[in-house]
Amino acid sequence: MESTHYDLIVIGSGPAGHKAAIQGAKEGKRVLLVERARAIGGECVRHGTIPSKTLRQTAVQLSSIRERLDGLSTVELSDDVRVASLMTRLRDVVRSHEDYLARQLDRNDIDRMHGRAKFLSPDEVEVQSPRGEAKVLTADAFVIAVGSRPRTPDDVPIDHENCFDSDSWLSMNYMPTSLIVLGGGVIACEYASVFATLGVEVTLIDKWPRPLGFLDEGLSARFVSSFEALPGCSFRGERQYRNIEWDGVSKVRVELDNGDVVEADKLMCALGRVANVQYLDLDAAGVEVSNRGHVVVDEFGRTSVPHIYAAGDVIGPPALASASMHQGRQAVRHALGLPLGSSIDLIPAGIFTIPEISTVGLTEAQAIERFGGAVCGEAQFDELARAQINGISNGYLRLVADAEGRKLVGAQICGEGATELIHVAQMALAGQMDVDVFIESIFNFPTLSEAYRVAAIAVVKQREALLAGV
Amino acid sequence: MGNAPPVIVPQPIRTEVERRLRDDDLDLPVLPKVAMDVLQLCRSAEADAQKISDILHGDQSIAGNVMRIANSPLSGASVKITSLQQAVSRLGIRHIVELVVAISTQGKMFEVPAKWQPVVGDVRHASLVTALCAKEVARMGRANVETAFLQGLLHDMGKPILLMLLDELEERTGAEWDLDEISASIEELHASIGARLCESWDLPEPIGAAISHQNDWQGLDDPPQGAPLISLASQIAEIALGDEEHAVSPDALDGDALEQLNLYPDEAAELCGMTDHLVEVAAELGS
Ligand SMILES: Cc1cc2nc3c(=O)[nH]c(=O)nc-3n(C[C@H](O)[C@H](O)[C@H](O)COP(=O)(O)OP(=O)(O)OC[C@H]3O[C@@H](n4cnc5c(N)ncnc54)[C@H](O)[C@@H]3O)c2cc1C
Repeated sequence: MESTHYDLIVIGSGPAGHKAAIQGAKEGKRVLLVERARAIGGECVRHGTIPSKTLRQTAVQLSSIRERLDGLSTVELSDDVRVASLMTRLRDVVRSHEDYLARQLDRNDIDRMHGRAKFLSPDEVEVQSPRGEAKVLTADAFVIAVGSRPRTPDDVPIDHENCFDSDSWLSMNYMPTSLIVLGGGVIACEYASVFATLGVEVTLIDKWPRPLGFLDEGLSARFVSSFEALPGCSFRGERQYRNIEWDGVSKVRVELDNGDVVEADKLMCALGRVANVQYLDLDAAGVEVSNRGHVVVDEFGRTSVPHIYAAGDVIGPPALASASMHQGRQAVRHALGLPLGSSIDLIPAGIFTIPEISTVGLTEAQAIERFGGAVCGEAQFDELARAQINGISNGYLRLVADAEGRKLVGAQICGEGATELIHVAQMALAGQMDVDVFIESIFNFPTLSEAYRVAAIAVVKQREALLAGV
Repeated sequence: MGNAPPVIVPQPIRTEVERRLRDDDLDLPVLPKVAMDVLQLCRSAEADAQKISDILHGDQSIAGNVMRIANSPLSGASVKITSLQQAVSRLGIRHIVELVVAISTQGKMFEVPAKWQPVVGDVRHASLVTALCAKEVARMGRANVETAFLQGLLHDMGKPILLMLLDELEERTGAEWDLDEISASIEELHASIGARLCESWDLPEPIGAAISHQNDWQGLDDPPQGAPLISLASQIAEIALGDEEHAVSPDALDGDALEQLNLYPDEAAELCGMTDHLVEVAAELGS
């Protein structure tokens, strides 16, 4: 008879759940992975990282062709270009990624079940299939990795036809001429800049004075200036929507709190995400949920019930695929009593706007707060040979050192390649290195990595001035 | 091997349809020029209510129907709509496309002999309900809502075209078939013809792909998303229209389609709860 007891049951197959399941299986445990969707991979593959980055790649290529032609010829997209066909390789990319993830599960002998899980007690879950069949399963340990979904306030009339959320947006099959994006977070800004680059007139509306407010002011200012340089694009900060409606003809109308009315073909609501706990019946398990709706965990990913862990978007920020994978592995390692890997402090943030933004460690303000001072050095990309060759004019790298101008404590980069380039700083931070390492090391020439050297020299100059008491 | 009796399509019918498809020699109805023009205009950035109503003026029957629907209580009209431009404004540009194609397919597009007219009538009515159900299934499954309407509306339009072809074949060969004899042929062959119709009307590719695979998607590795969507929507429509005594129940729905679309019993129940309203809207649209 088929057993219904497992060593480990993982709920959700996104980055957190997938890695948690594999970690358990690698330790010889009998693992079941329950997934509500038919395919493996979670939001990350279906609506998140993978599709949005594939679309972005098309936009970047288009904009670089435009830049290289430099006015010799115009590259425009026809009106009925379908979003889906713009994501040329999207289906293939998603398919091969799903296949790869599924093969990994099979190789590790992980059982899979297509269904929606809910707790019946701290030790039992019921999994219901789309056909309505239900099965009760027990386990020694559980990992809740159910991810998140777009937050859709009641006063935003989302019909997935004129007003979309950031998931249903990918079902659009033609390019609108104009778009309103509500929100100023990562998802809002990424989509806004991608569509703006594709020639759509985008209005980004947010209640905060600047978008990407968690970043250094300089970075978000650079984002706004690049975005607003595109035709018909603007950021409307410190504005709340008062009323949103489809005008019944062809436009979505957004009335703002100052009485202004903004109109566009379509609207995308990207006002944050909420944890997918709605079907889990966490009360039945006794798992505590925060007032923001996230599952409450300790530093090891353990919930209020010791053998139930949670990882990924469901536990709240940073809500990144990279962090989720790490959290999934760590949770299982802790559950199995294995030594834990490195801490999560050094996870870089990658924001795939156009141009890219990436940060790691502390900002200048955080460094001042922590060390009572900070010394920063910058390198503008347009001073670098590689950037000139690649036609990258709009970018910079900034290093943040401690109050003495010696130890590297953070880095921020804006410009194409930022999300790759940041890993150099991440390694230096992991090694607790001084900024001097960038001056002493010899980098390939011509590369964007030279920016590290230029910025480090700027820090050292200030340090010397400090020491000299200038 | 399953227990279902094998589907028997009379050989002359199969040969004829296969030849016509191969030689691209099907007698496909033409979408009225006005509908074609509206479709084209709506795909461009220049579409506005004035331009669309100018085009609609060119077809009395379509214009009259647009006016009627704009004034119907279901479209929420509180004041009487007196001009076509106003009607387009009330209904919305994207909905006008759906409406104009719907009106065209409900009209005299398919000329079949009297004996098969009831079949065509049923197809027309069920298609409208399917189209409206497809929109709701799409909304729930985060698929494209606009495409779903046309997929549902046109999914069975291969059937009347096939009946017209059979009529011709009967005349030519002297054969005479009754509905029982040819129902298997219709079920097996209509999807490819419907897909060909979409191609000839220059509709977006996902519409034809879904229609083409509406009956065989279970066997495909990577079926077009619209195919299970059509399956489910047409099944909901069929149950909604079939038995007035019984409400549509989620248990009766095709598990394969639900599984493919990731729809769970509570979501299926929500869809089933909408059917009365959708049947009412379809009746209004089709009257
Ligand atoms: C547009 C967009 C762009 C993004 N870009 C990036 C990026 O560039 N870099 C980056 O690092 N991160 C990015 N992210 C964030 C990243 O996608 C998420 O942080 C990541 O997917 C979270 O992983 P997860 O495993 O926690 O959850 P998810 O990926 O959301 O997976 C959770 C899974 O659980 C399943 N599930 C839910 N409830 C149940 C249930 N009751 N029973 C069974 N299964 C259930 C869901 O179907 C889903 O498959 C982006 C997100 C979005 C939306």
